[in-house]
Amino acid sequence: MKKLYVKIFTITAIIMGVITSCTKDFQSVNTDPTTVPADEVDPSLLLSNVELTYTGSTDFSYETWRANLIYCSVMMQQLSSVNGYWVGDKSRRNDAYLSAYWEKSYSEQVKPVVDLVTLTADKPEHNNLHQVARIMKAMVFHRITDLYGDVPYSEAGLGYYNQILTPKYDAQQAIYMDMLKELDEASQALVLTGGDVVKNDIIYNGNIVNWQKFANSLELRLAMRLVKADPATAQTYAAKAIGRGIFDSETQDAKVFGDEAGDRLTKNRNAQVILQGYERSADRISQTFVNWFKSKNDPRLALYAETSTGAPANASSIGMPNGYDLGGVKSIETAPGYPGTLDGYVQNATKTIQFNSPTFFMTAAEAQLLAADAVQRGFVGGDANAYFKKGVNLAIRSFAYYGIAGTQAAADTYTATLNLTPGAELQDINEQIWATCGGTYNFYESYANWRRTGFPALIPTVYPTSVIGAVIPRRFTYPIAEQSVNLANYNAAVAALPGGDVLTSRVWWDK
Amino acid sequence: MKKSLLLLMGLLLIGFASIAQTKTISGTVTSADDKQALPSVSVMVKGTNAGTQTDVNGKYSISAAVGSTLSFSFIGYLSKEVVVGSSNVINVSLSNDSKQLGEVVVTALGIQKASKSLGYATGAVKGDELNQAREVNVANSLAGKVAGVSVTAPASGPGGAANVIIRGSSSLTGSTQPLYVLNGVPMDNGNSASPTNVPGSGNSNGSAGQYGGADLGDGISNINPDDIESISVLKGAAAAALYGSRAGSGVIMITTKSGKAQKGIGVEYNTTYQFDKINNLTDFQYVYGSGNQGLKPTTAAQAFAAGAQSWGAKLDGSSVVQFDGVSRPYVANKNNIDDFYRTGGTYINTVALNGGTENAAFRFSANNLTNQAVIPNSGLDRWSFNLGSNAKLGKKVSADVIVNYTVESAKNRPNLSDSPGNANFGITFLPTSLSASQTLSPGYDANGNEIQFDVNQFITNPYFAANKFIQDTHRNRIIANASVKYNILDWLYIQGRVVQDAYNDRYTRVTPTGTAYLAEGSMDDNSTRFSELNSDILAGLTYKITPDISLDATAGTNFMRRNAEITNIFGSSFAIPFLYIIPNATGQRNSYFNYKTRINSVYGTADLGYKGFLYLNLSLRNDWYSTLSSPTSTKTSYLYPAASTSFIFSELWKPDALTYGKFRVGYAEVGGGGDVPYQTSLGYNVQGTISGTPIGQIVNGSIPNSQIKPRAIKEFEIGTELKFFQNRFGVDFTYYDKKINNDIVPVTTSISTGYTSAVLNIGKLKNNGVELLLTGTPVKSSSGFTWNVSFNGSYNNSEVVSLASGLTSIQVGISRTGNAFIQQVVGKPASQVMAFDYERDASGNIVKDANGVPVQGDLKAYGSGLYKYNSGLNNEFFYKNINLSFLIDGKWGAKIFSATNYYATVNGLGKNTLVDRDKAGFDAQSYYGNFAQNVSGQFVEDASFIKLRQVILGYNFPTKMFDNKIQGLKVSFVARNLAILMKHTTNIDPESNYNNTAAQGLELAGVPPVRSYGFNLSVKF
Repeated sequence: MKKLYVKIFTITAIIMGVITSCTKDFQSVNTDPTTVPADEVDPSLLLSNVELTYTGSTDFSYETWRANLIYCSVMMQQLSSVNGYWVGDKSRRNDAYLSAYWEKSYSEQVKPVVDLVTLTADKPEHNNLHQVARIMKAMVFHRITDLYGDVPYSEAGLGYYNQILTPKYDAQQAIYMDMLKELDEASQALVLTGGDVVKNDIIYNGNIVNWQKFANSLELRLAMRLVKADPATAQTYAAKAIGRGIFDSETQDAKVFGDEAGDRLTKNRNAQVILQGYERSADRISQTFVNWFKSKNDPRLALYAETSTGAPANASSIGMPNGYDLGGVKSIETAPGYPGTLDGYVQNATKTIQFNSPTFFMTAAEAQLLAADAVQRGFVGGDANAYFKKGVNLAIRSFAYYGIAGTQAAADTYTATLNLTPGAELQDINEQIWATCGGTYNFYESYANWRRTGFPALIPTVYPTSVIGAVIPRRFTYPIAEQSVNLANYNAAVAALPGGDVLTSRVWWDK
Repeated sequence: MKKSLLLLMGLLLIGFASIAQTKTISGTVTSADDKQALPSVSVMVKGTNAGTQTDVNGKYSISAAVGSTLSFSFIGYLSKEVVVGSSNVINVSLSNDSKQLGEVVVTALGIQKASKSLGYATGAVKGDELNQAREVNVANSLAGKVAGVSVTAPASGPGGAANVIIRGSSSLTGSTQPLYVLNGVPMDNGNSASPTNVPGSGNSNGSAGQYGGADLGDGISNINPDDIESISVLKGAAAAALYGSRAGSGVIMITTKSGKAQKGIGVEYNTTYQFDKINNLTDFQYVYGSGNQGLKPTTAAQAFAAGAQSWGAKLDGSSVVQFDGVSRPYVANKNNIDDFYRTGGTYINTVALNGGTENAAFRFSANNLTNQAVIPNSGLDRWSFNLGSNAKLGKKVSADVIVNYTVESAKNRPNLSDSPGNANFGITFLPTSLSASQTLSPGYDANGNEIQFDVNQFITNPYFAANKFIQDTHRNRIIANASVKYNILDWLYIQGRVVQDAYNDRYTRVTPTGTAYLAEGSMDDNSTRFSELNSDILAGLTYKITPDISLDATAGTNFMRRNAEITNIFGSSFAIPFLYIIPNATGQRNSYFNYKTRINSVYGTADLGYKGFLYLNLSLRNDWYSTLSSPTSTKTSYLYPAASTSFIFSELWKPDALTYGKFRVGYAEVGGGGDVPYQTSLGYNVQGTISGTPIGQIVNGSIPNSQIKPRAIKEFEIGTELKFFQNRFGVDFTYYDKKINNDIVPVTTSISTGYTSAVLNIGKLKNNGVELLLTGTPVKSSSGFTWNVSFNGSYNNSEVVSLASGLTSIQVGISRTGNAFIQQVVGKPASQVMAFDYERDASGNIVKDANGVPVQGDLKAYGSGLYKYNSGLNNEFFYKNINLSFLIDGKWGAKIFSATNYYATVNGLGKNTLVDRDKAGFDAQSYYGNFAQNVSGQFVEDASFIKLRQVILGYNFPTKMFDNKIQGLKVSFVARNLAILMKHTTNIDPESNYNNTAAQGLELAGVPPVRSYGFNLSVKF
């Protein structure tokens, strides 16, 4: 009997021993075998990530479709669609579409860029990568705040590092001041020779000189954003940026080429949307944009627009008016001059919407035009007309990246005789910014610059079910989900927003 | 000390034996129902350890003293006690216990215990109650049958998951489903896309959500009801504590049939055919037809643009052009929905062989279930094989081997919720002026492209969705359970058990070539390899410390290792149209996931009994979790204690009417939620390349937490069980109070954190309530007529007591409409349906905008999506060989946000949109659209109901009709879900949630409810 107890005791002891020893490998068991931890990962892998996701969501162009195209492109009357859900120039309300940019930018852009900034901070071996990360961070955030106003910034994307689950909304003014400071510092902290090599960079392939010009150009864009709200700051930073050197060649355009081979992950976002049958058949170039090109005799009309048979658009081409649907409350058939079929309107040139096409973040053209604007306002010295001519010239040259030949010659011919119209300089400059941004499918920036300057003077569409009447929205409303998951901060932000959380309220810099 | 105690006991026994006059008693034990011999009945001399079992012929022999009491007990039968008198032959007939498993209850780890010794409530259902009127998913058969267990079939058709909630929701955002235990060992309840405890399970993967998706079923539906001997529901922590962390939501224990000793080979055959017809609950307007702005379409393009909009003119019978260019009379086609869904059916056959001797016995069954769903081109085919065998190797060693093998193929599991690929959405909201069969069928044109009827390509033609979309799952699953028990001494045994639950799943989803919103098509090919190995060693003893004090104790250890590997290949744009294989896709993406979990455990229980009327049960379990391990946390171990007591007071005090009276009380702590791996740190990898450059990513969608610990559930329960008038009337009442602390939840966070959610140990959730089971036999006449009635009812009050500091609510679900949410809100019952109320001015008037549309007010909590009151009433009538039973169940106290009614309003299909529609100068279409968007609260409905759940009419043919060549033949006519006797919802079934997650209270375009009728035949040879 005693032996039995001894046996049982021994067995128990062995079992207990086995259990405690078995828990020793628990940490490796609990490490996902399909991943590596932060201390083993090459942080530059997140750079390619944020550069890619800034072109649009990997989730089938989610926010590109809704924010860039369905809202911005038609509000800015550069594209036009008769699909009823292209609400930007029609009912103007779709809460889910208005949330799209917020949802995808924070989860796909902010998340990796904040992580990248964090992983590379205070690491001399990653100095250049860190500065690049700071530039990308400003790139990411300025578009969010431009669209929505006060947004989470200082506490955003820090769910893991700081356990901040309900980020506060920073005032847009504070966000802008910080972004300007960040760009200013990052530009100067880049080490041009002998610094760390920036890998996995799908914008510049590690060219630090270009990154510095990019930082300066972006700093100029951000500075000029403040001309209404804080002209002094605008002037200060515009002068710094121009002084250090902005983009001066289309080869410096900040852009990312799509890659058809990677399917939805890497295809050009705008192309992915527009090339779908039901978009291609309903989406056209806006009449406003076509008429503008025609009025300027601009060679880009033939590069940007084509007929349904693929022939380049010309002076007899017509664009589709905005604010019409197909058989709905305001059918396109009732539009003045309706050509009898949608194919009578010109559409996006096929070459500009290839799956391998580039997505432009900021062009040299825009930087030069912003410099023209700064000179015109007296922020810096220089020749506004020269900047203007160069800007337009570079804007036409950028079309080379769509695989279009002869843009250099076309640009030089066109701009040889182009000059600012005395007395309407700001209009000329900013209409060109509108055209160069729209021409490169960056309708977000068309929209921001239009709100900043009021150019071009767009006539709002009249659509019967518009929730705000015949008015172009001044911002995007906050996601409804924020009321569910971040109510206190949402309420504080709305309280600080003159006019409340509606499409017609203006963000801080849009006074 | 122990040795001397034993010696003392031995001496006492010998002394007793030598004094009393003993003799050998023999006899036969039969079943009172069919007079068949009952093998393996336990025969004990009461108050001693002496006992035996009946043989294959039901015969026994035992020595006992005159005046002693023999007790006969057997699972599923009421025990009987007979005092030994002068006769040497005692024949006993045991009657079936229709409501309870008699004296013996299967408890945690498969340990059988005397029911009276339990200090906690359990529910029991016998296999017979599950295999007449059937559900494809056996768990759905439990609806209305067990107090405190709320069972709902989501609106996802046959093959979908069951939503089983025991004593209220036990998790804020995680799985609320119980642990299923098969023959003592946990089985996985996950599905193809999300095996249990894989991140995402219980959320969007494998079940429908905001943007649609299909219900890919669950694990319990793999079990064939014919193989089930009994189901025992361990409702509270006290009962389930031995399962430690996994028992937080209760445990459903399934014991499958095994071999029994009998003469020759027994054959059982059971066949069921049931057909299903939809119960169309829509009540839409038939006044206005397709169109916009009150106008009939005048061109095909206008008709196409109007699509699913019913904002046209009054239906006047005139000829109006439709989207396909054909003009047809502008009249209401009222049968679109009924015509679209076909008559479904389920055909089930089971053959079981049973044979063996006292030393070795087996049961083998083969089962086939073929289901045709009401949605065309959808169904399920399942084969299952079950082998249960046991052997006694000499006197001391016994072994059991149980193998369950299932092959299940589901064809085209229907998409739910959002419109893409969802046939239900397309047909539900079709304007009545369009005839579905004339204009939409077969859904595709001569080139195989979708016949699109709405300019919005995402509203899929329902026939195209049904005929061309593919959503198939295939599962091969084996659950093998082998155990060896060695009786070291009469009172001491040691048992080893190894169980492997392994399945391979394949899930193929195709968006076909020619789909309006994706003409080039795409597909997902998902493979899952899952395995869970449990090995345990258990030692148990049954020991009389003194003649009055008994001790039953067990101690054991368990190792659990779970591995799940999922590979997914996504392919888009098929090079050769209509050829749905991955190599034919011009764009491809791969992903791979690998989840590993380990839990090591030791546990022990001790049941002390005093004179057979007072029991104390103690148990202790310690779990070590791999999932809690992180570089900064080494605390991976948690201890769960439980204690309960049972007092059979009727042994001391017994008024005339009282047959049996028991009082019980229990307290226990269990854990849970520490099951999901890799939640403790960030992980990075590469998701693909762009022109050769790798694109890295952070894989965590949820913010990791290195300091997580398991949630702690503390539960107290107290109850009583009373039987009156010789068991003619019984009452079983329980009060429980369950507190869930530190739930581990992926809390939906503001996306501005960078993450969609955060893994947190947060909050307190409280459930308290009562459970009542009343059983009675109002009539039991000598003419052979018996009427049994049982009522079970429960009330559960839940409250979210607190969340993480700074959080007053967390979101667990969102409707497709984007303006209604399911949230856990501090101070409110769990799973609140949140929607926007009217904006009101200071004097309470509704504020309207310039167009007269009510303005959006605050987000308001309308009530819980979970039922507060659950009840079931079952009546059974027996007359000679005929039996009739019907089950009515009712639930109250839940709300549901009807996105179906939201869309019916926005589209002008709901009757509510008839108000003021023709008023001059009134833009009804804009008004109702904006009104629906602004004030979503108008679509929150009361989900209470009473349903006639089940009716069975059966006839048992007397075996002498067949010269006793057939041992039994029973024919039953069965029906399920016959009628909704009470509801408050319009257009929808109150039970139409589209998933079984914590986000209860959302519905949209699910599969309509069905009524099933059929017959069942069972034969025993």
